[in-house]
Amino acid sequence: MAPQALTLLNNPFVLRQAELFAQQVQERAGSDIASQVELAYRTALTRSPSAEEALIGRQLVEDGSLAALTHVIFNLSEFLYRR
Amino acid sequence: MSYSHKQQRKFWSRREFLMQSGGGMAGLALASMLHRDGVFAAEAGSQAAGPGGAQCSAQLPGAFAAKAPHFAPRATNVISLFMSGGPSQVDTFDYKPALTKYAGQSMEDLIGEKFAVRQGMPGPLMPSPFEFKQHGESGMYVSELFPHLARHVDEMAFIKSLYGSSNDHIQSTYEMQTGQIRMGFPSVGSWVTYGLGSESSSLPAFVVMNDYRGGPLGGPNDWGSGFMPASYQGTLFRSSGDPIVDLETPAGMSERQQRARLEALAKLNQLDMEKYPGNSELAARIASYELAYRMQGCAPEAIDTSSESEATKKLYGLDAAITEPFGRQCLMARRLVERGVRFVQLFMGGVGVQNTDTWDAHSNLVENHTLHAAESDLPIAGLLTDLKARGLLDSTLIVWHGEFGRMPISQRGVGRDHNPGTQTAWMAGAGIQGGQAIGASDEFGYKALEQRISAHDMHATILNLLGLDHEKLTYRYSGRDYRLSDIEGKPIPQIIA
Repeated sequence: MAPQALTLLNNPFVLRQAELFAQQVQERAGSDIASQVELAYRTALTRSPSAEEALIGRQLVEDGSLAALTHVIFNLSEFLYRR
Repeated sequence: MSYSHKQQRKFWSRREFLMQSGGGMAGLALASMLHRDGVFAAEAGSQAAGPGGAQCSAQLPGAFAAKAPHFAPRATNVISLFMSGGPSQVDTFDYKPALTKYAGQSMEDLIGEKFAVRQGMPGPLMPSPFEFKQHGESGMYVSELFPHLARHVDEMAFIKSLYGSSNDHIQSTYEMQTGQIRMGFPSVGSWVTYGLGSESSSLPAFVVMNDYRGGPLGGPNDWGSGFMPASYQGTLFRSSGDPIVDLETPAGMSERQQRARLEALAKLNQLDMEKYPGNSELAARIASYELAYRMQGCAPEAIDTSSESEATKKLYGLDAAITEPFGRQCLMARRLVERGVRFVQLFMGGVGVQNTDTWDAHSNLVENHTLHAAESDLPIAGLLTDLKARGLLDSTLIVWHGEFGRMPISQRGVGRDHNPGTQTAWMAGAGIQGGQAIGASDEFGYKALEQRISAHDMHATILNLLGLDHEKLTYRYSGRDYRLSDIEGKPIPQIIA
């Protein structure tokens, strides 16, 4: 529901965790964006991104920040729900 | 929420993250809103949905579309006032002089029937400690508990024969909310939202507010969507503090940045949806983010009561400590209905201490009912007055009831036990015929006797007033076309003017 989406979008705790996750990815993957996207996906979702996902991920990092990507990952349906 | 520096330094596991950031994350299981795909794409390149501005009242793609009713409706919106705990009919609206006449006598002997009570310690027939008087042109009886509501009796239709089938709070609450005593069925607000869609793109279609002391027994199932897509469930606004948390875009994040994240999120979830076709939950999730985005711009104004005039605040009792909590909820209900929220449900009485914080007057009827009536009488009367003054009463149906009534006999000499045999509900607004009593209970107010009204009948009546044919509004689940009114509900014929 919308209030839960609001929390995942705006709550300081969630954003702080996205930043910490981004820092961890940065430390381990280095500065190569493709490696960062790959590691973020593998860490959060235990799989590699598809080519399309990798492209969207790259754009998020290039236009925003690595924390923008990790924040989006925290909001992904796949991250939040079991299949 | 605040977290210590030490906690913030720690990197959280996925499980911990979900536990910490949600609490009620199980409730996150969203299901289909049956949307066309491309909720965000539909607005690509448009600034239309940006927070704030004139867009708050617009119908935008991605919201629940408003749907045409089956026939011309009497009302388009509902405010449901649920008196949690079970107010006593014989101490409020169902005047029974026989309780005085036979005071102290055994009801079992008088009616020749053995009965069981919920908690035990049954006593003899107990007259109401509250004085009843006739009010209005219609001469409806109201006890001294409701001096303000008593001035509105000519606008209220009293249903004096609403019965249920369980002696327990939770099952009875489910019954009044969903028609079934078991959990897992869609609530009346969900059915209405399913039938009529939303009038607002920037606020949820079905909003629930709990008593400031806590929620009703039965919890979120009381406003759940059961087997319907989860997006039809009620959205809970908090009743103290900020009604909606995390409504503000975080400091340092621009609207453009947030929009970029949301668009990427929508695209990624869309890719997921293509991988798992038929997973309508994903579409609902995408839509809930779109609604969340719009709420950031529109909800702060909707829930801000500070702009109301002093006279209006006084009308709802915001100037007195006893009436302020429920008064604020009633005022909020009016503001939400004005802004297109289809169904607003307020729970009055909530679980802190059940026997004192709700209408559940087992232990001290006088103290309990005096308190809850004092808390709610003026605010509800204010709501009726305000809706009428704004021309909204004709298009808004007000429904008042609890989960059950109470026994005409005493419990421990001072309280009254549960009684699903009858309760008095009332409706107002929606062009109904006020100043009438529908149905009747027996001599003691123990059981519904004339024109017995079930929860199914009440629900059929609500749908009917909203222009929905209760027999046509069905949802297919488990091989059956379910109705809110099940297979036996019938609208109350004489409620319509």
